[in-house]
Amino acid sequence: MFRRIGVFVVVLLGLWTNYGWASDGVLNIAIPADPDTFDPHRTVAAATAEIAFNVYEGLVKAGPHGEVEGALAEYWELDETRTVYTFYLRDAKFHDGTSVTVDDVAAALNKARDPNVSQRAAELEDVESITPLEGAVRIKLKQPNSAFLYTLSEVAAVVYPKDASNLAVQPVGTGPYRLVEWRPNQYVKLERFDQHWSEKTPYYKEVYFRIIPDENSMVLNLKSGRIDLIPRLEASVLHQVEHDPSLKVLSGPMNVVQVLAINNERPPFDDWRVRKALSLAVNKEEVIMGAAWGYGKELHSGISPAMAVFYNDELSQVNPYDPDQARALLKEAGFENLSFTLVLPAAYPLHVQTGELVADQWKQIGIDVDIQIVEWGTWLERVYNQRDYDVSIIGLAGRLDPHAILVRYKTGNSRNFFNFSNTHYDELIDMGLLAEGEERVRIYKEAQRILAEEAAGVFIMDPPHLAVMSKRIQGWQHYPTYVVDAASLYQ
Amino acid sequence: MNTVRRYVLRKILGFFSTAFLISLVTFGALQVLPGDPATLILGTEASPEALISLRSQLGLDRPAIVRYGQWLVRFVQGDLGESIRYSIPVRELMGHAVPLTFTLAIMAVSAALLIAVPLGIVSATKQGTWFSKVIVVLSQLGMAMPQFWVGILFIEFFAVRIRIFPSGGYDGLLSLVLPALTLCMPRAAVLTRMVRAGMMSVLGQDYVRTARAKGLSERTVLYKHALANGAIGVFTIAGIQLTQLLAGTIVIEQVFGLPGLGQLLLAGVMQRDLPLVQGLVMLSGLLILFVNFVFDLILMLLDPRVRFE
Repeated sequence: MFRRIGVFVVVLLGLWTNYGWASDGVLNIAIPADPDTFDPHRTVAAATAEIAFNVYEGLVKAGPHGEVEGALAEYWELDETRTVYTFYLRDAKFHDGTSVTVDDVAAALNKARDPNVSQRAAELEDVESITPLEGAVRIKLKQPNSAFLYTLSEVAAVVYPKDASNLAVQPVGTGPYRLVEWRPNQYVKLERFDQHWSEKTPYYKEVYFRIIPDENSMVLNLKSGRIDLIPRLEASVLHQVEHDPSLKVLSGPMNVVQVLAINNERPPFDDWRVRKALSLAVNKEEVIMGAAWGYGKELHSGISPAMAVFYNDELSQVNPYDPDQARALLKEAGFENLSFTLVLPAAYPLHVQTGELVADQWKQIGIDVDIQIVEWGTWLERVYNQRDYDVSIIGLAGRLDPHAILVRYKTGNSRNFFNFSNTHYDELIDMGLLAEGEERVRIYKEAQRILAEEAAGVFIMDPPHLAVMSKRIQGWQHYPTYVVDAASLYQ
Repeated sequence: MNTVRRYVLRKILGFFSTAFLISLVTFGALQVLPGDPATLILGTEASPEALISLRSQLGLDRPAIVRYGQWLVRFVQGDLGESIRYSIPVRELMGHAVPLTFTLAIMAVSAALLIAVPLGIVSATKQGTWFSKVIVVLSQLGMAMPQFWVGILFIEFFAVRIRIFPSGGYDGLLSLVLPALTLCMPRAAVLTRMVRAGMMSVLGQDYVRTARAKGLSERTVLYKHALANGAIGVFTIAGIQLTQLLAGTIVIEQVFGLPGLGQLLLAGVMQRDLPLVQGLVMLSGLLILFVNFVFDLILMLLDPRVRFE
């Protein structure tokens, strides 16, 4: 009898230690739109990555401070040529209950570098071969690549069962949560995965990402208790939640570069003095007050200060607000009556408001600006794909490694819609991938200086990342990339 | 009955050719808009190589006429294809959205009628009284207030302060009460004015006086004799309001986070999702054509003059 009770107590204790802090609770998170697709090779949308972080994992994953930590790989080795990585796998299970094998890893990564399958294949073009070993995977590179581990931490390089189909709507990953239902325009429902390799059980049993397109409605839903957390609040509605005693606002940098893009190839912007004048005439402080309610972080460089190690903080005096000098430069260049078009994407009110303020500041130095507000698809086609524009404003999402952001300004880069071209800059970008440590930091700092001095564009602000949640929610972590880490939240 | 048969045949022919035209115009519009699904999926991460590869994966590299032809052949067979935006069959997406939007539309218009008919009659019969003046002012307000703002006020009051209705989303009929109420306001306002005007125009007529002279009760005179004639225009307008709402209510769906047809259509257009947009436009187009068709038939039965036009 006592023995039976003993067994019972042991079982109970076992349950308690395993699930001690976990609850049957439900967490409701508000997002403005549906994810695009959970096919890891197709999606490039930040909004999808935010959810996918909880569902999928790669060999490595990003931590809250931008560091890379082991995920499916318990540890890894790099040989002295810095070209051969060996990743040693943990015992991990997929959401369908099967074990992760070296073949799954190899198959997924081979797809990730196939340009016919993966949209991000170009970032893995340095990979020469991927070889499954006993309990490990060996990846050989053509040359050293300091951004490689960061590339592996992104959604494009996650691991899924090699025979999985229809990942677009039914993702199978290894993350702490599995996707159980996606109802377009309603919600994406995740459920705690009890066989996660970390053996840590997330607090919330179910997590709903609920789609609420209107920012005012988002706030009302938070106040009514239907929503517990808004991971990205529009600054324009911040005043509605700031003083609510049941809510808290946590702010941090978004690691987005809001840039006023200048078409460097098109006259008169091919004249350095014109670009410089446009840059000097922008009063960023005023823009941040007017468009982001004072919450943005002023930028002077092409990367965000969120990337603390690589950020060049000595550039604030390269393009200070100086309308007189701007006017003088325009006169010197012979463009005293400059007129051009500023194209703005209607989908992003922040950029539209910024553009309206900047246009007004330019008018004060005699520039005639014609504002054109266009729908997002039109913007992408005209400004981004065809590069048929004078100046525009857009936010470029940050990444964990500076290379992915700065390579955009390299001559001939397919994403270089600035048409920026500078030989020294191009050399630095190539060197940056090969370099390590301090040397690498120095290279990227110099590259940032060139962008600022050449006025490739006007770097305005890192918009505020405001996470608003019910006071009882604990454990929120700001990531330098688009991530909502549901497994770290509790109450 | 020969003329009737010819009339119906002509109508059916018109029905199909209009439907065909609608599909052609929708397709053309999406072709003319800058950008395609590949552009929108890749956004600011696109490169020319990635665009080409994605276009061929999505089948967008074939000529427009071929894509339209394929869509048409499948449509005739009842296959609406798969949404590019959601990777889900269009039929399934619409299957979730149609019941919601239809219920919402019917709720809103019936509520509008329930409010408008008594208010309109009262304000017509009690002209000049403070009550009638209040109704006129209220109906002015109902037409003037922006709906998204009214919706937000309703949420603030009924869902945040006194918490009797959900603040958004869709979990059953209760979720539709506030949106229906919001949609009903401007429509009730318009209908109230219609009822009022209609009643005022018939109340002075001979047959009403005759009815009163026969000693019928005022209620019978108003609701049976006067309303029957005064309200014909009102029901026509209500019918138009209903068909408009059936096609989706984008703004209200956004405010209340409702997964209706409007949100689907918006997402479809934003992403240049041809199968989804075509499916939705055809649905609402056919619906409106069908309703009109039925109305025409009824009218023809009621009014012999229509047949010989």
